[in-house]
Amino acid sequence: MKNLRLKSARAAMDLSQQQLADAVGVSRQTINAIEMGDYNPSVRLCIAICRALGKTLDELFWEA
Amino acid sequence: MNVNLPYLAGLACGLLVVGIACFVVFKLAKKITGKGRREYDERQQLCQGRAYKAAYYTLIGYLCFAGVFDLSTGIKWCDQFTSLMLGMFLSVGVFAVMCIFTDAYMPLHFKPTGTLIILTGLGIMNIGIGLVNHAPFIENGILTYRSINFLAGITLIFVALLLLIKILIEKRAEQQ
Repeated sequence: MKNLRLKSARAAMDLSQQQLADAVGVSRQTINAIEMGDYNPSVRLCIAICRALGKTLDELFWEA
Repeated sequence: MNVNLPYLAGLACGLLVVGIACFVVFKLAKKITGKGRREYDERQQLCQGRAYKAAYYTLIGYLCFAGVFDLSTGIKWCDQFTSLMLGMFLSVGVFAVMCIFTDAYMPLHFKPTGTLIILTGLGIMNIGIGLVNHAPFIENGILTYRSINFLAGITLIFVALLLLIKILIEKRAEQQ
C-alpha cells in the first residue's frame, strides 16, 4: 500500500527523495520503495524518517 | 603416481599471481569507486539476501542438471572444469542481475562510473586473454578450459551493460 502521507510530508518540506535519503542514510530507491508501498521499513528507519521530517510515527506510518 | 613437480609449481605460481592481481584490482577499485566501507541500507541487504538465495539455487539446479544430463545421455559437451566454471558464471550472473534491478548492487555513496569502467575493463581483458592464445575453444566437439576467460569476459560485459541500462533508467526516473 502506497505511503502517501510520507510523500506529502516530504513534499511539504520541499525535499527530494534523494535529499531525504541522504538525511536518513539510505538510498533514494529505498525512499521510493517505501513511498510506493513496495518495502516495509524497520522501526529504526521509520524513526529516522520521522525525525528528518519532524513528524511522529503515527502521522507517517500508522495504518488508519 | 607420477607427480609433475614443475607443472604443479607453475600452477601454484600462476594462482599466486592471480591472487595478487585480484588484491591489487580490489584496492584500485576501492580508490576509484569511492572512499570508505561499502555500505548498503537495510532494503539493499534484504534484496541481496534474496539474490544470494536465487544464485545458490541456480547453481544447485545447474549442477544437478549437468550431472543428470551427463549420466543419462553420456554426451560430453565440455570438460569438467569448464562445466563447473559455467555454473559459477551462471549463478554470479543471476546474483548480479537481481541486485542490479533491485538497486542493491551499488553501495551507498559510491559512484557507478568507476564500477562500470572496472567491469568493462576486466571483461575486455578476459576476452583478450581468451583470444590471444589462438588455441581452439572446442576440441573434438568438447568445449575446453581455454574458453573460460572468454566466457568470463562475456559475463562481465553483460553485467556492465545491465548496470549501464539501470543507471540510464535511474537518471530518467530522477528527472521525472
